[in-house]
Formats: sequence, structure tokens, C-alpha cells
Amino acid sequence: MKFLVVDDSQTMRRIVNNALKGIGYDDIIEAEDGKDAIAKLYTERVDFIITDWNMPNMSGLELTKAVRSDEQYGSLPILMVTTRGMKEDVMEALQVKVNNYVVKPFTPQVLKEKIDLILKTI
Amino acid sequence: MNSKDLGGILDKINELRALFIFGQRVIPFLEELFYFVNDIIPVLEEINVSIYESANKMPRASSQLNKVSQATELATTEILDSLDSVVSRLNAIDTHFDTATSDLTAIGKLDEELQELVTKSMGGDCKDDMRKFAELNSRKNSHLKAVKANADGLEQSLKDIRSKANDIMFSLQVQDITAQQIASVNHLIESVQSRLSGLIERFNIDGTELVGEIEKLDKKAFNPDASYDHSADRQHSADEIMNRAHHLKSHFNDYDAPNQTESTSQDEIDRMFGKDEQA
Repeated sequence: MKFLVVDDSQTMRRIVNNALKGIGYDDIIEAEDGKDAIAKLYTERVDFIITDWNMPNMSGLELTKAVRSDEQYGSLPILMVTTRGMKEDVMEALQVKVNNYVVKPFTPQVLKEKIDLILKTI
Repeated sequence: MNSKDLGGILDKINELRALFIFGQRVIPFLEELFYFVNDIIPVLEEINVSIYESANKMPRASSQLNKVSQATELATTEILDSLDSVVSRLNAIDTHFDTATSDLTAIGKLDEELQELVTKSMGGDCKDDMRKFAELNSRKNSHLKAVKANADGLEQSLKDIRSKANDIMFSLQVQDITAQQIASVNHLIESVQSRLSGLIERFNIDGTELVGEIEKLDKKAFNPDASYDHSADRQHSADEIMNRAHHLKSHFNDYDAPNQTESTSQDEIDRMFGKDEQA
């Protein structure tokens, strides 16, 4: 399974990357923002997207909208990992159809739990 | 000149008299106003200078904050590099440890075979030697047990070190969160500076040099409410909403399945939540 980790923070990309490796997923590519992610989607096969919300150029929310409206990638599982933890934020993410939602700072257990849940339900 | 004209002149004189009386009363007030304006001019100038100085200090403050953010990111990268190195050495130790544990198990098995062989070939004839052999063998086995016990302790310590390294790595999320908080403060400084620059520009009668510009770095997106909050409350609250939505979506899809590639409207979400509350 190939993961695409999208975050403008290099630190966060490394943390998510290491967490995924800890769970047993080694096939990981990274993108700095939504635009970069879209470009990667068209050049590499991706099975799962983990994205931050607040990013320059294209936010995680815009990325999710773009993916969902794409015929080829529309059904890709998307996990939003963000500092935004208000109820309204979760609702907004739900509205664009993210598969699940993780609030930063997160633990590896929470990340694993959400990935497992998504993979079980798709 | 008739009496009517004279009356008019007297009226005008009276009006002038009233005006003089009013003027006499107003003069002290005007004098006070004059002194007040005289006093306030230096104060206004001081405020002007203060605004100018503050606005001039803002680019430096903003640049300092950016430096803090960059230094923290650099330090975090260094810590992550060190952690990666620690974890990679732990992995190497794990491999050596596994090899050593298998070797110990193999030694134990070989010992058992040797003991069996010796007992079989010498058991009947050399009873004293066999007793001695059994005693030495028992001492050796207790040493072997001690080595295994130490190995178990070592294995637990390695697990603990790995877990602590993991904890440190996940705590480094603080860098992303504080970077967002700093970006938010910087945004605020930029807005205030821009307002003050506007004010200075408007009142720049003597042609004073205007304030410096805030250094424009890469556009940073941020959440002004980002917080390093370890309590699970926010995650639970998000989980609750997601669980309800997933639960209701399956129910909802039975009669009004939204296309996966279509975004759900707020109304749809409200309906999902509203439906649940009625249920």
C-alpha cells in the first residue's frame, strides 16, 4: 500500500512517515502542499492520502475537494491530520468527504487506529 | 433722521454691547483653549514619534520571530536525525540480540545432547566422574539461566528505549504547532504595522522617512487556534462526529446515497445529525 503524506511542515512529514513505518507501511511519498500532492497523484500510484489542513498554495480541504471531484482518484481514502479541533472544523472536513480525522498532537496509536478503520470500511 | 432710525441705531449698539460682553466672557475660554493646544502639540508630536518608532521596530520583531521559528525547525530536524540514528542502532542491537539469543538456545540444546551422550557412554563405569559431571553441568546451567534472565532484562530495556525515542519523536509535533502560533502572531504584527504605516504616511507633513518593510518570507498557512494540547478531548469530540456521520451515512445511503465524488452539503450533514437526535 502506497501512502502520500501531505504537509507543509517537514517535521510533521517526518513524524507521520516514521509513524507509518512503525506500523509496517514502508511505501511512502511526500508532498509539501495540495498542489504538489495533485502533481504527485498524476505521476505516481497512490493508495492512501494523509493530509494536513493548513497549507499554502492549496489547503488539505481544497485537496480533498479536488481529489473527490476527480474521476480516477475520487474514491481514494483520505485521512485529515490537523491542529484544527473545533466541531465546525470536523464538520467542514466531513462535508468534503474526508474518511477520518486526527487532531494534532496525535499518538501513533490514534493514527494506526484511524488507518485501520478506514481500510476496514472502504 | 427720525426717531425710528435712532431706535434702530440704539438696537444695533445694544447688539454690539451684547457681543462685547459675550467676547469678554469668551476670551478667558479662548485663552485656555490656546494654552491647551500649545500644551498638546508636543504631546501629539511625542505620540507621532512613538508611533513611528513602534512601527519601525515591528519589522525587527517580526524578523526575530521568524528566526525563532527557523531555529526551532532546524533544531527539531537535528533531534529527528539523532532519533533516527538511535532507532537505527537499536535495530542493529535487536538483530545482534536475536542472534545471541538463538545462539544461547542452540548452546543449551547442544549441551543437552552432549550430556545425554556422555551419560550413555560413561554412565555405568565412572560414577564419581558422572556425579562431578552432573554437578558442573548444573552450575553451567544456572549460569546459562542467569545469562537468559539478563538477556530478557536487556530486551525489556531496549523496548523501553525504543518507546521513549518514539515518545520524543511524537512530542516534536510541538514544533509545527508553535510555528503556526508564531506565524499567527507575525500576521498580527504585519497588520498593525501596515495600519501604522498608513497613519504615518497620512501625517507625514515634514517628509520623514517612512518605516521599513516587514521581511516577506514564504507564505505560511496557519491555524491561529493551534495548541499543544495532549488531552484526548478534542480527538474524542472529532471521533464522536465522525462516528455519528459514518453510522448515519450508511443509514442515510439507503434512501439518499450521495455520490462519493460529490461533496455533501451542510444541509445534508445537518439532516444526518438532526435525524440522529430524533432517533
